[in-house]
Amino acid sequence: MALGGLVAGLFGSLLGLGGGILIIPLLTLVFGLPMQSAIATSLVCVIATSCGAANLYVKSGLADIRLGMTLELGTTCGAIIGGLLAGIISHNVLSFIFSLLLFYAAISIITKKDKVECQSGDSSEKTIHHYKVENYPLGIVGSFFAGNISGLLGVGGGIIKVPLMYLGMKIPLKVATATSNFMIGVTAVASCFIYYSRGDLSLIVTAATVVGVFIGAMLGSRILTLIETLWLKRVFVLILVYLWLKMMFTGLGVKFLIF
Amino acid sequence: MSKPKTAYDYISAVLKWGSYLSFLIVLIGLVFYAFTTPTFQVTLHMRALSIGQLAKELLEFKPTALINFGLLVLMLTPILRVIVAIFSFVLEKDLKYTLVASGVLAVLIFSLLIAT
Repeated sequence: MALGGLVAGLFGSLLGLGGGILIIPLLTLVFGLPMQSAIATSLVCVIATSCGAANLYVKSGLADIRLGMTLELGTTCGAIIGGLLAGIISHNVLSFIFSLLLFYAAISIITKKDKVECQSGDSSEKTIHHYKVENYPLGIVGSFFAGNISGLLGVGGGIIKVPLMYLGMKIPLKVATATSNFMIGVTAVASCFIYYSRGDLSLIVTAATVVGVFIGAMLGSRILTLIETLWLKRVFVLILVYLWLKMMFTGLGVKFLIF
Repeated sequence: MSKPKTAYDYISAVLKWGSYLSFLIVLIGLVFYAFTTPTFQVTLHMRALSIGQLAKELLEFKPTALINFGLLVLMLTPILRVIVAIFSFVLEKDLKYTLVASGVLAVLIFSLLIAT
């Protein structure tokens, strides 16, 4: 479990995801946890990843804390509603909804591949150009939705927030990624306590996974600049597609070949 | 550049030490748990405790209580981060973002109230 957390933390910080997208399938499919429990564990891990990575982003000034705070108004409200919803939805339905998110994650990684490559090519000198934040209303509404997904499914929601900030609010990709990471911790906390008091948080499972994620995230944010992420992405997409099918069939209650 | 630097520094420090501290507590708890439990098996059904019970078990040095405490520290870190942000915005006389950050804190407190 700790090893799984380590891998998830490493992938998560390298690709700017919360890590929850791997932790939840791992805990439900391999260790047989109910969805609600896996989500609670994942939320705690998401907080850990966010704290670990965001402190570096904040220190370097890459994360825009003012923008982050503003959007957090949306994400936290959404997260509370998501957290409450998860309490009344069944394990299978949650699995099915989660599988849709996996599918979306795979698609978004495939489509943004070339864009990221040219981005990292021309901005390697690490200077942040001045930018003006546009479209605050869109940002808040989108953040509410992202927070909702986060609270309902136990992921960070960066996969929605980063394109939202980058495409919708005209924020540089690196700043959007850093700011999203900064916001994730607070968003996860808003729904985490709901799971906690509902008794969904499994102590030992969470402890083991969190320790793994911590180490993975620390390693990840330090080797981020050294690594060629193209192959990493390809492997990751394959994993996501497999998990998507697997979770979908689980959610539907059907057994199909290897899934 | 020097003015916004302070808020960034404080927030960064909270995130850093909050996560290190909780990591350490959880790790110690986990090691204790592994040594005190004859067969180190993952019990899926051991749930998080209520605050009152946690305090009691913490005084008895139960490893699971230690783990639980560490996880709580982790969960409280982002809330502390918001509080620190409010203070640093106040110091910078940044009224708009003091209000924004206070709003975020209010939502978080609201979530705690629903939870309990």
